[in-house]
Amino acid sequence: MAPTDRIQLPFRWQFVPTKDPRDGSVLWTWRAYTQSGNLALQSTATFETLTECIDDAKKQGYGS
Amino acid sequence: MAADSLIPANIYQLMVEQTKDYALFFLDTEGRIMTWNLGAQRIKGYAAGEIIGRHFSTFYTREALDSGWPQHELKVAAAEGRFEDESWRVKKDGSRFWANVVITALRDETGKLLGFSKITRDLSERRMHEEALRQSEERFRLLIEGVTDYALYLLDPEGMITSWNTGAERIKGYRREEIIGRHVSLFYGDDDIKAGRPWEELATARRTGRAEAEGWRLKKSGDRFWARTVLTALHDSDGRMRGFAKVTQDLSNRRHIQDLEKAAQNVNEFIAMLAHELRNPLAPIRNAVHIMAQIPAGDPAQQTMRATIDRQSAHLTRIVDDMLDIARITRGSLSIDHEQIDLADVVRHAVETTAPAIEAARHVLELDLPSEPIPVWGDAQRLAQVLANLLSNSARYTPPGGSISVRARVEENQAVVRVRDSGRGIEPDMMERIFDMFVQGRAPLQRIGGGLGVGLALARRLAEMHGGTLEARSEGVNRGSEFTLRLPLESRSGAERSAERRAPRRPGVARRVLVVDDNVDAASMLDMLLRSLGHETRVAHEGTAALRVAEEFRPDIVLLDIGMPGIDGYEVARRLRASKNRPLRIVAVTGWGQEADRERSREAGFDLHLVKPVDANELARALNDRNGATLH
Repeated sequence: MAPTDRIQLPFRWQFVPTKDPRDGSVLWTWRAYTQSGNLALQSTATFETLTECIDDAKKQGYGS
Repeated sequence: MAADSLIPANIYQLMVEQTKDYALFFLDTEGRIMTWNLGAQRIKGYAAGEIIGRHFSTFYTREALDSGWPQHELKVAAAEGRFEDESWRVKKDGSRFWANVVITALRDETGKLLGFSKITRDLSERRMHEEALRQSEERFRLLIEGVTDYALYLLDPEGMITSWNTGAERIKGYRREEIIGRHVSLFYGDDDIKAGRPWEELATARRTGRAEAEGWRLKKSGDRFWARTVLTALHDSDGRMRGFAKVTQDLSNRRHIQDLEKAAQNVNEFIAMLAHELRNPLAPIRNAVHIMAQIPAGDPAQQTMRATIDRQSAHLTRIVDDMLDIARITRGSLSIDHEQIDLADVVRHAVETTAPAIEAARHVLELDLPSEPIPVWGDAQRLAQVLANLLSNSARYTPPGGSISVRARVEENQAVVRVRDSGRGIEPDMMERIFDMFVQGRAPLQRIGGGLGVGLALARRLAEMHGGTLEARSEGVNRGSEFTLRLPLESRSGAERSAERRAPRRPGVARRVLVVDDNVDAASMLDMLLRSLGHETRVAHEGTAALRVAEEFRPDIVLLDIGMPGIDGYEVARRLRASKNRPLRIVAVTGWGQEADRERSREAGFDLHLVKPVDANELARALNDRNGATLH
């Protein structure tokens, strides 16, 4: 009997540093790609620290 | 038979008389010569008339006569029917020749002894050749034996040692009697044995006639030496393989010189690089200072210039820190803190530190951290230094727009961090050398990212000091690289660690701080920094003044340089402690950072030892962690 649930492969999470054009500081965003390379999710805000960025990504399933 | 009629009746007599290559003659039972042929005359020099009737012992040497050898020969021939001998005989002219002699007893039908036939061959020429060959072999043996600079020895077809010269004994340490019969693989190290190298060399020599190699070999003592070897297959005249000759030269000295030359070359390149690296941040600092002098205070450009100076001086500090670490490694005095840390935190910190470089090159960063902590026992700052080095290398050696991935996991009870990039990769022959001091994966002129070529050496050493390893892997040039840091997993539970981490930190408060430094600029800068942090300060530039100001100012904290003219910092600290007027925190701020220096400052009464250059965060911690944990 075939499984009824679709197999959920883990996303590939990218954390992207970008420079704030106003003061040159580094801001962070995250993106989650499927294993086939399609963008599945991305952050809706930018974060001043990587930790904040990771914490936000965790709410969407990063590290779970 | 018809043929018999053609044979003369005296044929045997003719055969004997006219044979020239053999001396054939008849002896009576007493050994007197009764007949003589042409061969006897030619070989021994006597005419028949001169010798017939004389005793055959005439042809024997003095030594043979004295031992009664002629009589012995006849006695044996009479008893056994035949006697054969090979020895010296004497000609008529007194000269000697090497003779093969066969004496046969002749008997009649009744068995009565009639006498003896004697056949003598002159083997002088053969004897001469044999002797020449023997002497030649002896000379060759002595030559081989006498060679002390090379190990020369023979192997059988299976590789078992069958001969051993003086040089072999000197180089390898084995005596002949303890090495003959043992296999040549005895001289190879474990890695070579595992790789099958000794048998590979034998097979190559068997197949091609010769195998040359250069590598480490073992002496009897277990010491290694750098050897060049030539293995030659030996064949007999029928073309059958009879074994091998092996020549081994000890090139340890040459290798040592090459290593020294290489080290000197690395150091020279390092000095050139260091000069370059120091000049790079100095130029923008000087320019910024110059520009700041030209523009009015409050101009927005001041902020930009300050940021430039801050960034470049931080870079200079990193270079100096690296230099200090190199010096500590060289002296074996590099030390690390030991505390429980979450390696995932360390990864995050390292990524944050290197984010500007990653961003500047527009690399995409993939970070894969587990949701659970990765507990390790170590120095968070040093481990972050290791990972930041790997990340900044990836950022520098990956063309813009590349990808960098960092993955931290627990694997087989180890904490493992992998830093992978899509960059220029590593040449196979550089794979291990990149961890050597002062070595970069590319020639200096082609360097694209700067650096002193010490980062990976430091990183590996730091990993090892944590009981871990740091290894590199690359599929080749332009195929990216992967560095793997492995550390022992800390076994204490997450709850224990969390409780520890939840310990409250004391908030910062304003302090009365006395700065003591004979370097006026350094003291002035520190003073300004402290004031900007809200502290009340006083400054002194030598020990006596420091004691006087301390008496009046009654500071909470003294930031005290150690190396000062007059009363040095140690003595100032002792005197301040001796006064005991009120609680006082004394912090060493010095360029001396060895463990022995810290020990000495502790003994002198210092609470904390900071090494210059001290950054603002470190200073703030030193001022606020008054009741903090580790002071030294």
